[in-house]
Amino acid sequence: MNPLKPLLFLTFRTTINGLKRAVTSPTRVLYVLFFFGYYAFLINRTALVVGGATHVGVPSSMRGRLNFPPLEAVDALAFALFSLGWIIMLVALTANQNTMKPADVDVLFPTPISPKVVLTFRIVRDYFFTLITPLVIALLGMRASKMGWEALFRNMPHPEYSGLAIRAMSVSWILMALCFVVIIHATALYINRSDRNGDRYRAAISWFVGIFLFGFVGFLVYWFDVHPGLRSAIDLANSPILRAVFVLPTFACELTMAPFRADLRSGLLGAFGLVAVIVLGLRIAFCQISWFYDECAVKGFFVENQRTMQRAGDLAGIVAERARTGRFRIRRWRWLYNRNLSGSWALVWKELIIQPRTLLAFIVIMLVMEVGLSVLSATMSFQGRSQQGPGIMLLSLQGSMTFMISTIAGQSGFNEVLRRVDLEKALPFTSSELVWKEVMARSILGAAGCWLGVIGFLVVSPQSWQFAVAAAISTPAANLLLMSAMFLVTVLFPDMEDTTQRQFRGLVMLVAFAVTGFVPLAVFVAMMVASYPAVLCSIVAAILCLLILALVNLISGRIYAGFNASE
Amino acid sequence: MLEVVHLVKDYKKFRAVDDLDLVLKPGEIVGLLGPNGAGKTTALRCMAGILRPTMGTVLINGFDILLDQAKAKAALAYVPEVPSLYELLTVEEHLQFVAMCFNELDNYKANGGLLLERYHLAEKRGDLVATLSKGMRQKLAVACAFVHRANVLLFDEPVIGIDPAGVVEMKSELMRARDAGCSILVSTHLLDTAEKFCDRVVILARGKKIAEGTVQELQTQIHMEGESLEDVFLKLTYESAEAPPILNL
Repeated sequence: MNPLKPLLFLTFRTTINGLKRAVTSPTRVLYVLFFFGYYAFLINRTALVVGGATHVGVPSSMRGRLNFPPLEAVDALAFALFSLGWIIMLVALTANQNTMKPADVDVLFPTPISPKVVLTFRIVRDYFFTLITPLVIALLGMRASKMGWEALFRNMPHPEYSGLAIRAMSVSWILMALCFVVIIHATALYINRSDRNGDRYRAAISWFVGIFLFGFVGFLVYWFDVHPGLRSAIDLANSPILRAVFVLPTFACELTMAPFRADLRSGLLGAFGLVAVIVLGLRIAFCQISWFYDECAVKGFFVENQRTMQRAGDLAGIVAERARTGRFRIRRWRWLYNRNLSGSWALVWKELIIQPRTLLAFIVIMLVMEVGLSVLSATMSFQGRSQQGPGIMLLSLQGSMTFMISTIAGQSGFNEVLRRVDLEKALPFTSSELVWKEVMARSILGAAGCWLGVIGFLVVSPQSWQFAVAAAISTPAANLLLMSAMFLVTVLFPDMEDTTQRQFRGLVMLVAFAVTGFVPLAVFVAMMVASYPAVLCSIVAAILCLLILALVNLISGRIYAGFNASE
Repeated sequence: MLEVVHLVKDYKKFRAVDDLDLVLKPGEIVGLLGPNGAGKTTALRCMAGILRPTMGTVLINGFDILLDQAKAKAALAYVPEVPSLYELLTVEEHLQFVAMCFNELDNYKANGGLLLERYHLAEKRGDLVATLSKGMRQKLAVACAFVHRANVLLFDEPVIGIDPAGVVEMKSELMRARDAGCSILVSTHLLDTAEKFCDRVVILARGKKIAEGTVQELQTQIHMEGESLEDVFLKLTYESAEAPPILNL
């Protein structure tokens, strides 16, 4: 039997069943309509142009007004663009994890179908969809492109071949993209091996690419320093040495430029060159084919799990998965371990351990930003308002930082609370107490950032101490309130797997912030306008925040008590 | 017949399977036992041709799983512990796909109905795999193993997630396969099941084979005659935590 038959069957049936399934939800229907609408528009538009229109979207003021640039400049530009693509590929060379679906690992891999067939089919199938747009253009765009060139330029070289130009470009792009894909897959088979050589190959390739790119950028800087100007750039792009070093972009460029030069031979040379690279890449990949299934099996589940958890915003799960596979080193915070927190405070303690593990980079960035921007606001000069200006700046800054920290730290954190609902509900606390401690635990980061920022501000601008104290009082209270509003919305829209509900939840969260924060903010602003001392304003606002917070937590506690993860 | 010779599998610096030798004769069920992380799943995946052994060979009916994949795998069926299936295929399409992979489509068309009936999948034949319960998925995975005429069957925790009636059916299915001359390797945590059901057991600990034989042979070897496999297993794995004794019975 043809070994491709089962793979074609699988692709065809999953596509058809996926389409059938797509009409089961409005969001999916919209996506499908958009997808097909785009291609219908593309083909229809191209067909219309081919069928009779004369000027392809070229403004009348522009028609026939432009001189076609010198061929060597066009050649240099095409080469530069393809080279840029090649450099981007080099940067991403070690990023491919060489994974397939877990179902492929469990069902397809133990069958007698050759891994070579599976790999080749996968490359072709995956990238057929990626390249479908240039393919459509290549198939339908000849006459349109001919008219387009002629409409735009008055002295097009070899106008009889101008219709082929877009096709040649599209084919160049398709072949070059396939080259990229094959090279990346071949590299992936070396660097993702589960033995010790995998790491060695990865390091060697990374160093080679790094040195090559560093050297190339250095060379460019030197060249343009010594030979400034457009002329020298064109000369450089056409230099035989550079063309030899960047051989793949050279092939693509030769193929693209062939219609403009009316040079069939150079076009064929470019096409054959690209095809040769594809074949060579496949050959190299096939030399390592015995590792293909192994790599997919070892990494496939990990990558798939990571993607699923990213979609669901499960940061703790991502870190746990990384830890399981030895990609995450656990740091123990000794001073925290020695705290004697008991009862529901254990929830706060637990969160203080988990948060740095899941959000360490975010925490560091936020703390640096808080301190840095607070110090900056203290140094800013405000004409005639030497004390109030920096103070108001600090309050606004703390408000916006609170909003940012709350949305990020709260979002992932409260998802986690709902995920562990069965564990936490079994603990000997009331639901309201549990909600209160979870909200408080997630507000500590915001409060700590605020206080650090305030200290930094006070060091630089001690005369504005009232505003600093006001920020130190009101910001943590506002942070608590925003967190509690966020918890309420999270428990109201708990389905993390449903994209629609997740997006809707984001929208509702903004409304909840506005509703719960309106009164304290309005009172604070009104009192400030009425020239009450900033500290008094902040105390009143903080009390209001805490009152609303108590109400919100009470509601959240009730809903949480009835929450069932299985539903 | 399955023959595993000096099988070693490393993940970077970690040795998951260490010098495993194993022979499965036609018409026998061998239990692969071991604590969590002992290397059972890794060993099975190497035998199924999914993972590439670092050293050693796996022969299926005399064909090397690495060098002669097509012939070796044609005689092999593997059921993973938590099978990942193609969510967007229907039950029938899934079985059909597996049949096509093994070049057994005609056989499937003739006998597929019976297979669906036997695994209580007939009513679900038109349903997407994505809509199946965990137990039904497990049944489908097992059904996939019997689509073609395999004579080496590798099962990783085959009865996990299946209801009691399903477990009984599964056991009788494996018995039938054994009686038909298949070599069956079953990785399991359920020691009482292994005791009643397997002709021999192989115990792994930290990637190494620490014991092999019938339950009686193991009992005699460590002077625990009349004790359950559970006690024997605990004693062997406890001892292996200190100094792994190699018992080739």
